[in-house]
Amino acid sequence: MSWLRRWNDFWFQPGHSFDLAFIRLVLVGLQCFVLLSYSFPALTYALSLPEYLYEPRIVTRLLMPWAAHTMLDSSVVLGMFWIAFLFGLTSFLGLFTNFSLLVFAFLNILLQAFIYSFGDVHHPEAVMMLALVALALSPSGRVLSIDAWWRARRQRDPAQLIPLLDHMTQYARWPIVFLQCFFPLMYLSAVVSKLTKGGFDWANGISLQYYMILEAHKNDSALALYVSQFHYLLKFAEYIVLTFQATFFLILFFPRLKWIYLPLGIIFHTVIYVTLRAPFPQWIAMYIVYIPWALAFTWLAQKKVSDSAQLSP
Amino acid sequence: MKTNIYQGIISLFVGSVLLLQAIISIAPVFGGTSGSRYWPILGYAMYSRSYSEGDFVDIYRLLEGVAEDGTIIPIPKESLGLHLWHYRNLVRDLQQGRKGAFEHLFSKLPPGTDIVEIRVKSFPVAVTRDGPVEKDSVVLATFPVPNRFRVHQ
Repeated sequence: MSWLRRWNDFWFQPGHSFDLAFIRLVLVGLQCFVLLSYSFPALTYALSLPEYLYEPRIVTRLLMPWAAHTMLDSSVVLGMFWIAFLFGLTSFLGLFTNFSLLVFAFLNILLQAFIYSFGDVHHPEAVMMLALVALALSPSGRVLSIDAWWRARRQRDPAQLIPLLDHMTQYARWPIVFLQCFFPLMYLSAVVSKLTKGGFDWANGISLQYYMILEAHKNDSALALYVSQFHYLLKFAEYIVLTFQATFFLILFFPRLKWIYLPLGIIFHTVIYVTLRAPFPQWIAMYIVYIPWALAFTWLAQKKVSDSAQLSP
Repeated sequence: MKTNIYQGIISLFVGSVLLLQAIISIAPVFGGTSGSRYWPILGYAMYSRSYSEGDFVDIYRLLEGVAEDGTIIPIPKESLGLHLWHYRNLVRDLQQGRKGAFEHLFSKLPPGTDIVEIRVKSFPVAVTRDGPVEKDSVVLATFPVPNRFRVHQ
C-alpha cells in the first residue's frame, strides 16, 4: 500500500458527526466565555500599554501585513472583538457553520496575537486557536446545528432521515485525531524543556516549592504559600508530573489508558489552577476529544434499569 | 477532484502543524529554544527551570531611583500602572537600554522627579525546604539615567 493511501486511510476514515458537533459546541461555547471573561479585559489593558512595547507576532504580520509596523487603533481592535463574539454565537448555534467558524477562528487568532504582541506570551490559548481552525475546515455543523435543522426540514423523504447518533461523515474524524495527536506533543515539549534545563534535578522538591512561593506572591494565593512548606509532597508531585507528561503519548497507542490519563490530567490542571492560579480551562475541556461521545450516549440509551421501585409501597 | 483538493488542504494543515509542533517540542534536546516566536505553534516550557535551596524567588525585580543627594525613590509596579509581567519586561528593557523604556518610565513618574541612577534589586524572598524565608534584597544592577531625562543637568 502506498504511503499516500495509508495517510488518507488514517486521516479520512468516516467518523460520527455527533462527536465532532459536540466538540464544536463545547469548544466554541468555552471560547465565547473566555472572550468575555479574559480577552476583553486583556485587550483593554494591552491598548493602554506604550507603543514601544508593540512587536506584532509573525502570525499577525502574515494575516494582517498592514498592521505589521503600526499598533492597531483601539476602535479597530474592539470592533474585531465584537464581530468575533457575534460569529462565536453563530458558530455555536451552527448558522452558516463553516463560514462562521472561519471568521471566528481568524479573529480569535488576531485578537490573541495582539494581546501577545507586548512581550508576554502564555500557553493555554494556542491549542484552542488550532482547534477552531480544524473545526472551521471540517463538517462540524453537519448535526446539532441550525444548518442541519434546515437540511432536515427540506428533506421530504423520511427514509433519508437517520438517527442522530448513527450519522457518519467521511471527514468528521480527522479534526478529532488531529487534536488527539497534538496533546502529546504539548506535554512532550513541557517535559523536554524541564529535562534539558535542569535534568532530573528538576525533581528535587525545591523547584515546585519555588514555583508555589512565586505564584503565591504573584497571585496572592494563600494555598500555594501553605503548600510550599511540604518538601517531600512536592518532590513526589514532581515525579508524577514528569511521568505524566513524558508518557501521555501512550494514550494514542493504548486508548484504554485514557481512563487513567484523563482523570489524572484533570486533577493535574485543577491542582495547578487552585494552587498556582494558572488557568488551563481550554486544555481540560479539550480532553473531550478522547471520548467517543456517540457510542457513549448510544450505550447509555440502551442501558436498562430496574422498574421494581414502582411496585414497592 | 474536489475530494482530492480538500484532502490535500487538510493534509497540508495537519501535517505542517504537527511537524512544526514536534520540531519545536524536541528543539531543546538539540540546543534550540522552545520559544513563542511562531505562536500558536510554541514551546510549552512551563515552570521548567530547576532551583536550589537558598535561591531568591525571582517574582520580579524591584526598581529604585537614586536622587543626587542619595535619597532612594522606590518605583513599584503600581506607580507605573503595569501588571507584573510588563513591569518585569520594563526592568529588563531598562537594563538593556531598549529604546522607549526610559521614556515610558519617566512619563509615569511625578513631574520634576530628578534621578541620577536606577537600581535593580532582587525580590526579598528565598526558597528553603521549609518554605519561603525573608531575605535582604540585593542590588543586581545599577545604571545611570541618560542626561535627557535629568531635571537638573
